[in-house]
Amino acid sequence: MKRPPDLVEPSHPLHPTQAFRRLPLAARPFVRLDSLAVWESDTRSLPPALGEYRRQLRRFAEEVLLPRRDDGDSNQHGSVQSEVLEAAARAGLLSDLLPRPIGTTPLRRMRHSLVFQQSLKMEELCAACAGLGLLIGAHGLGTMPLILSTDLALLRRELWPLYRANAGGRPRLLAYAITEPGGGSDVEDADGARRYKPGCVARRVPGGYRLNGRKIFISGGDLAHAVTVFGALEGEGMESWTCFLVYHDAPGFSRVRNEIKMGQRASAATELLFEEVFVPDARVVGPLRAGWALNRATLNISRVPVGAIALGIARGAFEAALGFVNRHSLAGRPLIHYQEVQLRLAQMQIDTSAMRGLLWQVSRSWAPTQTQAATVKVFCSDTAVGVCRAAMDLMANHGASYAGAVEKSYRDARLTQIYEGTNQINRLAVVEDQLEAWLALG
Amino acid sequence: MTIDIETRREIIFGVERFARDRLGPHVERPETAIGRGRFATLVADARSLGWIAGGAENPYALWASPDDAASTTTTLSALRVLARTNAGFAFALQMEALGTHLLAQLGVEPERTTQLPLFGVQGLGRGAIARWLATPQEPMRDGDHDELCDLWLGAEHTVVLAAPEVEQWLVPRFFGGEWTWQLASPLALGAIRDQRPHGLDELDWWQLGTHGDRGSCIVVPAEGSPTAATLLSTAVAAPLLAGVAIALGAIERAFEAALRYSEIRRQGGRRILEHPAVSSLLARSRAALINAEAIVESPLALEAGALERIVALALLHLPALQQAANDCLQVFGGLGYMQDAGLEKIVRDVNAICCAVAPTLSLELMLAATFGVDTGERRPKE
Ligand SMILES: Cc1cc2nc3c(=O)[nH]c(=O)nc-3n(C[C@H](O)[C@H](O)[C@H](O)COP(=O)(O)OP(=O)(O)OC[C@H]3O[C@@H](n4cnc5c(N)ncnc54)[C@H](O)[C@@H]3O)c2cc1C
Repeated sequence: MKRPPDLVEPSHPLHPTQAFRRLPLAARPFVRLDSLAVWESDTRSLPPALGEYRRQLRRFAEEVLLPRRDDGDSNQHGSVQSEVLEAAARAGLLSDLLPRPIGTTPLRRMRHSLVFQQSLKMEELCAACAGLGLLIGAHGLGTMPLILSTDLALLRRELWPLYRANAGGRPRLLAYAITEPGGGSDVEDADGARRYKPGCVARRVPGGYRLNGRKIFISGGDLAHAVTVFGALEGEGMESWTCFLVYHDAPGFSRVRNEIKMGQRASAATELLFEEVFVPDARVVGPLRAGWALNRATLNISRVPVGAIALGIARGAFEAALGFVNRHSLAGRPLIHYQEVQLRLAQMQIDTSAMRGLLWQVSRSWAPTQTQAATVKVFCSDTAVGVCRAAMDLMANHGASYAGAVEKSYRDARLTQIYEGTNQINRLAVVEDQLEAWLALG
Repeated sequence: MTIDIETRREIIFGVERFARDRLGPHVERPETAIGRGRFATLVADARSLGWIAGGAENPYALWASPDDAASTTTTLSALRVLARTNAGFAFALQMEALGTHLLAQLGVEPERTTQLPLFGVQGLGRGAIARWLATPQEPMRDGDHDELCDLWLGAEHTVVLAAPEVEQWLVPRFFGGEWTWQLASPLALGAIRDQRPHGLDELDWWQLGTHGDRGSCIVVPAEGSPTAATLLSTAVAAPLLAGVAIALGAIERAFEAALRYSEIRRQGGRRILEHPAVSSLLARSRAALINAEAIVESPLALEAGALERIVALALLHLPALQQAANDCLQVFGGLGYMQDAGLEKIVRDVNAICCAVAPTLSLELMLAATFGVDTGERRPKE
């Protein structure tokens, strides 16, 4: 592609990369003589194990997800989903929350936080297709309560067989079920939960519990092999919330319907019904009444990768817009030659870089604080919607056309402002976490 | 031709009745697009009511006299009312009404249904058209000539938003240094219909490639018609105002739904309306609606010199309305994201309107061009 003639060539003596060469050698460590694409320079800035992982993920996303993006978006229950899941399973992406030999994560990568690994994964997958990315990523969410239970017997008994099947290319997915018809925000926010009368209730019976209730909007609920589902103990409130592991073939468990969604369509949002479902004691995840703690701990971890989903979508929109302005021209000049177009691209690049900067900073921690997790989630999702809107605007009618790809990015991005707690609830999570500090400073 | 207050009231009353009794039953489920056959029947009904008629003799016609403030305001009010029920329908009528009006202005008695479709590349046309309209007699800035040639049908690849089942498109084209008006049909142009557009699902989004046969277009003889500048400024400005009016109507529906929902949905121990987090979403939407309403309902003629103001209004209001639609969706939480609630369709429709009529990128350049210092090389107009 020809460069815009009115911009300084990299070979020009006034171009910074040329100009810097005239600096004394001692000054060289302070300047860059190259100008790498952001993705490349960001990848090189990562520790080697993570950099290598990011490259693998990008290859996987481009080879497996991208070619199936359109089919996934138009058909929630096509063969595309099973193809992608099988490929993801074989690539170790469905068993990567634990190190080898139980999981598929190489030990040297385990030196870095799970949050970082999951964030890298979700950005790359969702840059190709957020719907297919969610199909894979929601399984990690469903697995988190098991991991956080740190109950080795439970992990060996329940998770290991699933992980073994996954690593062998036979997908066995877990879904995460907290939302109920009467409680969406109330199951994400302590203040709401305090007042909420739980809809999903477990009754004590010999050897276990009988679970009754309904969960809605459960990502991957249609294909889940098992669900980590949260319910209150009979006669008690949300303080008694407990996590149960329910398999898809448990009598009384059924999938009522799948929603038709605005975006991220390759992954279904399913309504699940529990009618006298028997859960043996051995499938209680974590201690009794520890459900709320498991839920909030899970959210503090998973909201960061949700930020990464948003980032991936925004990057996908940016890349699609970039392709468009390189391909299309006006008055004999490619659109990318026009300053207003370059400025728009620059702003999109700046926005995605700012998202990544915050995300990677928070991702270094194994245990992000509630404030950090909510901050990443809100900032990245709001910014991503803005980037997608800017991409649509830049492409005018092409932006609204399916073929332009950015309209899908917009539809996909819009969800990140809603799930894992609406952005309003995430802001309240910051308040909840910071209020004491704010009061102390006042 | 101007219209008095009584006639205006009567027109709007008729449109409201149509929206309620004829259009309404087909969009009881707001999330589903009206089927093509039904849509065509409804448009035919609107035609039979005289809403689409060139010639300016019929005050009931949409865009009957764009140069008259009362007539323009009536058109915008009517579009707003229709869009409360279905934005796609309102948009289709406005495109056909405008095409028919312009054809009549060109002195042609339409034998076939005609519309002025929206070309994406018009949006990418930078400031050239605004500069040309501001100073049609002056020499053209270097580069503007080529940019004008690439607008509308001159574009190599473009996406065209059009109403379905309307027989021909009326499209301006800059060629050989002057403007002509051409009649085209999507099929003769080799256009391909996008099966999954982002929004305005009732309408057709055509992909127009280089392979298309631009030679199939018929040039409209324009002797004795108003100047090219007058017609062109109507063709540019009218969709901008219509976009604001239609987005406004669509979001009014979203707002009502969000308000109703917020009064019954309980979270955090009370109705969500009572949480400032939700009431501020509603308040922001309401502010955008009230501000847009002030534009749509205040007299504004599409006369020469009005372009700057109209572009400025679109630049300010359309992004605000886009945000308002999103805020209404957010009030619904997860439900808003599901097709059933109908909100996501309105968000998509408003996005599609913004893409088609007014990408901010080009509105900014257009606005700047109406007052900007022009340092480019000049060459005489051919
Ligand atoms: C596609 C999709 C996938 C999902 N996947 C899953 C999943 O896998 N598992 C799962 O369990 N859930 C899932 N969810 C549910 C999701 O987390 C909830 O939709 C979300 O938390 C919001 O809850 P709600 O939909 O009930 O909205 P509501 O809680 O009813 O919120 C409605 C509005 O009120 C506001 N609001 C509510 N309470 C308060 C308050 N106390 N203070 C201020 N404002 C308030 C909200 O911000 C929102 O604007 C999914 C949702 C969607 C849309």
